[in-house]
Amino acid sequence: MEYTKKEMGNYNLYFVKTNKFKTIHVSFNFGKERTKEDEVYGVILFKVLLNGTNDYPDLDDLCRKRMSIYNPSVRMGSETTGLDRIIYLDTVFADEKYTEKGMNRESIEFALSHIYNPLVKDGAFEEKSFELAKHDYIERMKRIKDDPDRYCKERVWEEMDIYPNGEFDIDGCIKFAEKLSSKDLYEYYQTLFTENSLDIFVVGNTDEDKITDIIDNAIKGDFKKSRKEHYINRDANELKVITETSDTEQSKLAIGLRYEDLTDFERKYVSLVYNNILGGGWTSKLNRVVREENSLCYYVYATRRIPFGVSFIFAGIDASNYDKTIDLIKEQMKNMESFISEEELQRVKDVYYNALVSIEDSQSSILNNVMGMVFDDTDSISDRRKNMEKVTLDDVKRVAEKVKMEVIYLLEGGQGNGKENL
Amino acid sequence: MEKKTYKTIDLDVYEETLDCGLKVFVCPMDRHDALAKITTHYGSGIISFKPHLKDEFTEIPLGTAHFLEHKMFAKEDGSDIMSIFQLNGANSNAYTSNHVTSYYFESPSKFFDNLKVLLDLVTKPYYTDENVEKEMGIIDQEIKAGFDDPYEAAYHSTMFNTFKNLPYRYPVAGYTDSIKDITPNVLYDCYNTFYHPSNISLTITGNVKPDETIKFIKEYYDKLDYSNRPNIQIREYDEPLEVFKEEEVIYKDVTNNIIENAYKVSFKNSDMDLAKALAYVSIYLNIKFGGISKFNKEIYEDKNILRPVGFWKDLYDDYLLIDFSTEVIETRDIFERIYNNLNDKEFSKEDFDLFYKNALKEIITMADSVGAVNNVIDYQVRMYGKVLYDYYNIYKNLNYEECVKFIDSLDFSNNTRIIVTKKKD
Repeated sequence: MEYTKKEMGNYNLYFVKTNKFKTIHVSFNFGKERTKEDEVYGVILFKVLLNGTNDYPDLDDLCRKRMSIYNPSVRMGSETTGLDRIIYLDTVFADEKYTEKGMNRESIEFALSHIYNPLVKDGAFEEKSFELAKHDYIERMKRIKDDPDRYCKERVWEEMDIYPNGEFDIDGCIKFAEKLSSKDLYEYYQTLFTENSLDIFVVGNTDEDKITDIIDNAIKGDFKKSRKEHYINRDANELKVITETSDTEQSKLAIGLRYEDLTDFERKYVSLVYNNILGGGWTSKLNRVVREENSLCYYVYATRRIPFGVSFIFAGIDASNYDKTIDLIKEQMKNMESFISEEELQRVKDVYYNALVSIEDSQSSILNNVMGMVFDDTDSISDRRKNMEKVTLDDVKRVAEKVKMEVIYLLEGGQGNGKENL
Repeated sequence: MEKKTYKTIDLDVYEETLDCGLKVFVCPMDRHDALAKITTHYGSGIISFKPHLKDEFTEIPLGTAHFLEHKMFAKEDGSDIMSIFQLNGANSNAYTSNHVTSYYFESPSKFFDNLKVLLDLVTKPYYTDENVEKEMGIIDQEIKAGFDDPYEAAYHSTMFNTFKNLPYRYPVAGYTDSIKDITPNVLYDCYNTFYHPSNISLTITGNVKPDETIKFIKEYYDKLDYSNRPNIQIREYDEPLEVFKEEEVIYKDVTNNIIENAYKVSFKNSDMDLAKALAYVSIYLNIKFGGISKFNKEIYEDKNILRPVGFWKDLYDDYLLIDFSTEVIETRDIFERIYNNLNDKEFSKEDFDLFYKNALKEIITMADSVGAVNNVIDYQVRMYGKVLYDYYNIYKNLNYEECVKFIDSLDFSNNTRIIVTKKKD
């Protein structure tokens, strides 16, 4: 998918012009080096910013304003990609050709008002708004265990010790948040949207000059140059086996895998094939053997987080089947080193090729694709296809030998009949 | 084949009803992907009916529709449907709800190969003692995971306590002990009655040519014998307006209290057009509980309440169910606040008028997605028996005074309250 880049002095604007969509998607991406506090700061900050502005301090009035301009969606969040963190502000709105003239400008300015015109008093965020957001965050962290799937994922992630510069565990997040003041958060905010790098992506049937004018008039800051992705690579730790108990019927199993010393080609392509032959989709080895042949679970799958050099296997099982499930998973991982077929390889490649074709079907996938090329060293769609074609069985077997099981985590539930819970 | 057009967004839909009764909707869109979804109007809410070619009504085990959905993937020749889809580069899946069972695939290539697999999937049943037995362990795990989730547990209890007789009260997947009674014969009874094409609709959106597609589907069904159309007879239930149980406390390993509050509202005496009536309720709920409401602001500012009060509505035979849920540190007056807000039926015309803009944004957003267009057609066919091509105009022509009068006529008093709370030591 072609895109055009406009260098706007200290930030960049990227346009993907397409007449396939009736909505316009604009994504503002502020990049910074990751710190362990970012996650806590971010979640609380986004809530403060999204729930009131200087012009519309009350939530209901802010929402009424949004409805009056045809309800553009406004979303904030962040993603840690290896050693960096991207903070994004996204808005999707109906192209004014279908609503009324002036709404493109209104929508973009409305979205940006959340970060450039926040509710501030005496050098800090308005206290009530801050306290509510902080309270909400702390309570949410406290109840992570209520959702066994999420808790299991959080725990295996923690035990994998992903970041070189560390991260808070659940209790650490809570303790840090408890000490946070409105002034602290405001200080963090002050440089976030004005001094980090800024890359803006626009997807839709837009007039580039008009949109550029709207954005350039609304953007405020002295931005740094953005940098490419910095991946995390390290050797696997000794295998840790951890069991915790839970008052649930089903047990949740999570296994953390580490890829050691991948080449660039292996990181981008071969590890994807490895992950998907092992645990991606219906025809994967794990689904075949663990679910279909042995009826041990409703789901079992592997998912790859390649900026961090890891994959995870997740399954919902009966605790009594733990040993059998682990044995089967280990057996299938061993099989990846020698018993994989051309058919399995081709199947994964075909799914990949189709996914490449489908990128143009949605604005969010177009956006992700262009962002991948800008922030990471993702290849173009045509190069990705060509490179995937080069992946051989021997490549996959070599990667299989570089995969180490690092954590086995079981959230152990009991046995019983769901009906008793009613 | 009849061509219709979604007004405002200029999407064409080609409709055809085959001789066998299958309803087909084809909506070409400028995309690479095509999404085909086949939906039988048989869900977990049907548990007593007269099987095709049998004289007596039968009661089937709870969870049968969902079990049947799983077993439709088993084939006599041993072929693995999910693998074939994947080999053809398609994403595919299936789901069962209270009202329907749906099967679908989405792919940018091999459309007709995949369409044939989808049609084979729903036209070639193969149930044996062995393959039924094998599925028990998998579904048992699915059921257990559902009951472990406190939100899902609250939902199960809400449905159970709202309805006294209607089978919607039971979980879609059934219970560990109910599915043990499912046999191949039970599955064939259900299949022969509800999987006849006359009870099915097929919706295709995206990269598709209507002429070729409808020709392909016709030729496929012409080779099969569907002359003996079932006369579907489903047991009718006398469902009272009152909820089965007004309050229940469930003990689970949770940090705070999860609450769910469902209102059972009679919809049978309304002579208003159903789409319009549901639009009025939707607007009313959004004005009273959505982002622009004072209620939402107060909830957000109340530290005892940990999540915004979420709400949804759906129609269950003659009853509209309006469901609210949230999470609180202490239950205090949350149920009373929801009740009072729902029953304080005053709202301004200014707020009411905001919603036609919202409806326009929603329909424009919908038109950008192959999946969303497919879902809307599929939903409207289930709900209204037809596609609402003038959906936006329905919204645009809504009338404030009529809305006030209609909402005023609804009785928001019958409700059930569920609390999921921490186990006592």
